[in-house]
Amino acid sequence: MDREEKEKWIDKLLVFMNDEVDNYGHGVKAITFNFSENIELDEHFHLFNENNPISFENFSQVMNICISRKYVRFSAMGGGRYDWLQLTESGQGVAISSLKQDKSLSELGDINIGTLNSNGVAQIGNNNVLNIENMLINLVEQIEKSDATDDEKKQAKSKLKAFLEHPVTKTILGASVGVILAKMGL
Amino acid sequence: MAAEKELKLKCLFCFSTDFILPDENYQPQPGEMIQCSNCGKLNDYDSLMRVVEKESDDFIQKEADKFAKEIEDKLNKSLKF
Repeated sequence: MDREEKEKWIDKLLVFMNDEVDNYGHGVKAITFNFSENIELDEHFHLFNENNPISFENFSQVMNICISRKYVRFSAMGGGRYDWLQLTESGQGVAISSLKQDKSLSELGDINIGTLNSNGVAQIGNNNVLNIENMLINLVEQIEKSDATDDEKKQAKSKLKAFLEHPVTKTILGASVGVILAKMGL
Repeated sequence: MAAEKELKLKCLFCFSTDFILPDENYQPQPGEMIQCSNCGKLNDYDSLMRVVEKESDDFIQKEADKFAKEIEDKLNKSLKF
């Protein structure tokens, strides 16, 4: 089991324990868990394993991490290796945060990109619009409309042209530079 | 008897105390998720507060026990002949 997988199992285990706590309607201290392997089928390891099949060896690794991070604690000593366990406030917090995190991700819904053809640089995003052309055309219009002298306007536009023709800008904007310059009348 | 302890909200995943907030005096609302600036994970603000409340309860209990022990020791000493 790699690290990422372990983190996922930690979330699953804590969510399972938190659900049990929620089902009883008491605080975290009121519920004790028995995750011992060789015990009656109605005990917690088997209940957890029903919906989340995992070997006891892997489960032990996950549970040990939970104990060391203080997501889970022993409420009493004795009994089996994973008997008398309680979810802690931190463990409950991780469970709730993970559930809310999953929920906010699913609320985002599917992002449909469709077919993307790009010869140059492309920006892919959700609900964002890349419109450099319009922005620059608007900028030239604003320069034209301004109260500056003709010389100043000419100077501003030539600086803009120099910016667009700079090799770095050209690399970023690709073929769009020519189109932008033509549209702006530069 | 005066004991002080500063308690900070700690990321539930990486235990960092740094969070991404709009400004220094920002007060998160109940139910809000706040992002850890170290691991980037979202933390449920209510849960973070519950953890801090538990820590403060534990601290107060520990200090109270310490105080009771001090009183007991002083009483034992003063009653000794």
